[in-house]
Amino acid sequence: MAYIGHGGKEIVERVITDRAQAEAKIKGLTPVPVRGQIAREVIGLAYGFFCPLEGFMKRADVESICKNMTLADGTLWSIPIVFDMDDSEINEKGIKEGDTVLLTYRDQPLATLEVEEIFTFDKKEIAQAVYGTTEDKHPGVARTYAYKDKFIGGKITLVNPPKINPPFDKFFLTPIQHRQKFAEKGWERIVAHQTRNVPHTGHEWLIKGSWLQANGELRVDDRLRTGALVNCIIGEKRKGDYIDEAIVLCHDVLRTAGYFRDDIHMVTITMWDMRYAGPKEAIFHAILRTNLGLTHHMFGRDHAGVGTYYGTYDAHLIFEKVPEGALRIKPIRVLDWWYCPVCNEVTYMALCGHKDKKQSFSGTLIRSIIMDGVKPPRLIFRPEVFDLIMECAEKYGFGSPFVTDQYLANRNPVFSLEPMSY
Amino acid sequence: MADVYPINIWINEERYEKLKEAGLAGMTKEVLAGLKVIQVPCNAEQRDQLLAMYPGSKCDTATTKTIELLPKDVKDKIFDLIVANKSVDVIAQFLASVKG
Repeated sequence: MAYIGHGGKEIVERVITDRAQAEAKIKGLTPVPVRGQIAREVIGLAYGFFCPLEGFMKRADVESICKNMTLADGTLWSIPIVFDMDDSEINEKGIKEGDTVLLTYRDQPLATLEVEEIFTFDKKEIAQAVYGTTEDKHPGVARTYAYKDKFIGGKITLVNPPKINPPFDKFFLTPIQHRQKFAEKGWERIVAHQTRNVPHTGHEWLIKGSWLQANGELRVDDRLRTGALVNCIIGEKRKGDYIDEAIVLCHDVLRTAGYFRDDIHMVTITMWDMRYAGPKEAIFHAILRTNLGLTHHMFGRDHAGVGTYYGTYDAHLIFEKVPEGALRIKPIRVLDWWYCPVCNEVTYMALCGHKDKKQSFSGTLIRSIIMDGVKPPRLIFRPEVFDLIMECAEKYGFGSPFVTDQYLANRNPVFSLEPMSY
Repeated sequence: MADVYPINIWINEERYEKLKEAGLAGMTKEVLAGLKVIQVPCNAEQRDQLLAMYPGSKCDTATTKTIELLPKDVKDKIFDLIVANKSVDVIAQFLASVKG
């Protein structure tokens, strides 16, 4: 069965699962070690998370993204996916267009890269076009400036499929597997909740509210046909972030503890290093979740933003600029949920008339409460979630639910590669 | 008047009882769905010293002006000083004890 992804293109998995075939393919290829970001993007490309891309972008695509927010063929796209390499390393290894090289990660083969084009590109132009700024204080701009001086575009083929390690193994599905799972569940509409946080009840209500919006006019008398997918972004961590294990497991416990029905809620992960590109990242997330088979995507305030670079609802407004038919997923634009002491409940900005009494879910306040180890009221934080955060801190976080130097140095990797000769 | 940068100390039942004994329960306020907090004032100089000593902490300049994300043991120590001194003006003493 063909699964159609973003741009109306079929999702193609570029993966060799036969070990002997893979070993034969990589024999004699020049090895090129890659860092974590590139390894995660290779996996994303190979399984079709970034459909219609089948490899790292060539110059024409990057140029078109910067000028038109599309790939060279006109398909909507907002963030370049590029492979960077030092000119000196390219020369040293004698890499030239037409070659195929072997990308390795942590000393093991990962994928082949067909060197279709070696090119340069003005990083400032990328920064301005994607992030709307050239300031290196912006983490996405800093990431762009950290790219080496040359880019290599070309198709990749995964030769050593990653082994996803516990506890993430239960949550990793390829785009095709996502679609198969949705079909099993009988979901006709699926709404995405993008997250990098452990959930407080403000998040929980964002998911519940967007489920209601996505379900809309569908029949509900016989069975439910809409699902909510919490798709956790797993990528490079910064000190002070929630640890990955707590994010994934705490979202999952919302269902197992009954705050969501088993037949309407699911948690998965996607490997991606956040760019904090605000509205442009919102477009990228919409594309990514289209490829997972979702029909709706929730966007809240300051989606994927950082600092004061973007307006509160820029990620809502950018969808006004997307031409009709360019996206196969519907944005669900939501306002804030807050606690209202007059209503005595978590309520919605568009409904509650006590704005002057609102008590907002500030991420910083919530983190401060967690750091103090003080259990918040269940209206704010489900006790099962709070207990699990503390459990994850002990089990995975070296005593902290937040990323520390120790966690960065000693955590269990999200995925490993089996040893393979090359 | 000099700017004040408070530290939020979150109050559970056990802490609330201790504050009651110290006669400070009235200084708590409800912030989020009944969750209580007691605020410990810092001046700008004290704020800067704390942020330098504990690099994971930050001053939420955008909204609350509070100093957040201090390590738990630091806040436990500050809370103990509040109860012992029956006052929230304890940051000078805390900083002296850490430096001393």
